[in-house]
Amino acid sequence: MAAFLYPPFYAYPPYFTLQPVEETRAKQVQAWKALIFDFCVHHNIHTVSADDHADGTVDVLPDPSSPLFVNAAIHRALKREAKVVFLDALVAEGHGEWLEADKHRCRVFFKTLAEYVSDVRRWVDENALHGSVYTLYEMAEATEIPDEWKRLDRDVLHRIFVACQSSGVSSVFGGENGEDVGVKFL
Amino acid sequence: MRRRPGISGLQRQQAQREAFSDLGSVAASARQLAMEEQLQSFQSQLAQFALKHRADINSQPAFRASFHKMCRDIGVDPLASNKGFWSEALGLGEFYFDLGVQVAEACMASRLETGGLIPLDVLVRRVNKRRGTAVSGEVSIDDVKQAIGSLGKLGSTFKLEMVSGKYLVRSVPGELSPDAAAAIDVAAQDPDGAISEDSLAQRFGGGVGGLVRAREALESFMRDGMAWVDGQREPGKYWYYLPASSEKWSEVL
Repeated sequence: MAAFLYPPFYAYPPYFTLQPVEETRAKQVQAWKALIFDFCVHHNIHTVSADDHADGTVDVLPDPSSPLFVNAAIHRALKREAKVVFLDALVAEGHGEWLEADKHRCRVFFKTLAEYVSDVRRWVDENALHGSVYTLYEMAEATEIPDEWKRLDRDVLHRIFVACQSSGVSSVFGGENGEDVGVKFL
Repeated sequence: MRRRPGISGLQRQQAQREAFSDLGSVAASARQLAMEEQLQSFQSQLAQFALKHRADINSQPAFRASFHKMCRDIGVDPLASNKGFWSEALGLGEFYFDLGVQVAEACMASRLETGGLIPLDVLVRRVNKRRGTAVSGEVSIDDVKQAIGSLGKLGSTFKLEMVSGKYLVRSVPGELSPDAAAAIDVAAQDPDGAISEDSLAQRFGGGVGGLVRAREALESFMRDGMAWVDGQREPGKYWYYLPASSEKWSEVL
């Protein structure tokens, strides 16, 4: 995979301190929100933690050598407060969802749920899959499932189908332990 | 033999004076005519020159600058009007009109990052980038200054500010106070364009008075979106970053 290209602001120290002035903060939030999103898409990351870690590292990521909230080269790291603000912005535009009410981990959506739902609806129509049933496990294997969805985390996929259910595109059943979740397209 | 004043003498004197003044006015009008002819031929020569070298004038900054100087020296302002001979012959009015628009656009674009204060040399580079220099040639610092001057005539907010020998272009309303200028100057010593209250207070002579002035200057920068705060450079202390003061960051951000 090509190395992730950090935007220039990532090396500008004050971007790691939450800006007190509204106008400046708006720019900062916008920049970080876009970075978090691009970073997660690039590395196929579906969950970002807003918590600070005891050892000073901030995020749990597949590759510790490419961090998101810490720039060791300039000795700056985001504090929890700032991360919550930036992730809140991601949630507000539909690309994220807090997993806990007190905002520890944020699930990241590469598309908004509404976009996913309409993708699923179109896919079901085009392939005439009304009435067919899949488990999430099967979905990861089946050739007719678009690669884009196969790359998604199982939990994200589940979340998408739950959203589909409220839109009447599919119904979801089972799923006490994740593997057995079934989806029936309507 | 001594001549006594007499009526004929006075009349002679009068006639002499009139003759002189007639001669004078004839000479003067002849000279004026000659001057007018000269000026006319000079202007038409200048016009021919301008037409002939139009491409050079529009594409070469140095050539353009010399041409402007020549025009200024003889009291012709090719920028004075967008209509009339000069702008038609040269498209110079248009040249600076377009440049003014590009300068304004570049200022607007950078306003988001720098709060509306940008070093002149950085602005020139950005304008050149916007123009795409392959076709129209680079514009110089003089050109951009000229364009900012023209924008100023429209009562705009674009203003050149001189801080410690360096030009900054201000694209938001307001004045740069001496204290603010000092802050920009002190921040420019740091590669990141950073400044602390203490370092600025020192510049103001230290003490409580210096600290109060420093705090006010930095707070006003913050309010105007021209400064960013960093709480991690030194424990328990804020550093203020002025993108306009940093060669590196005014360019990148």
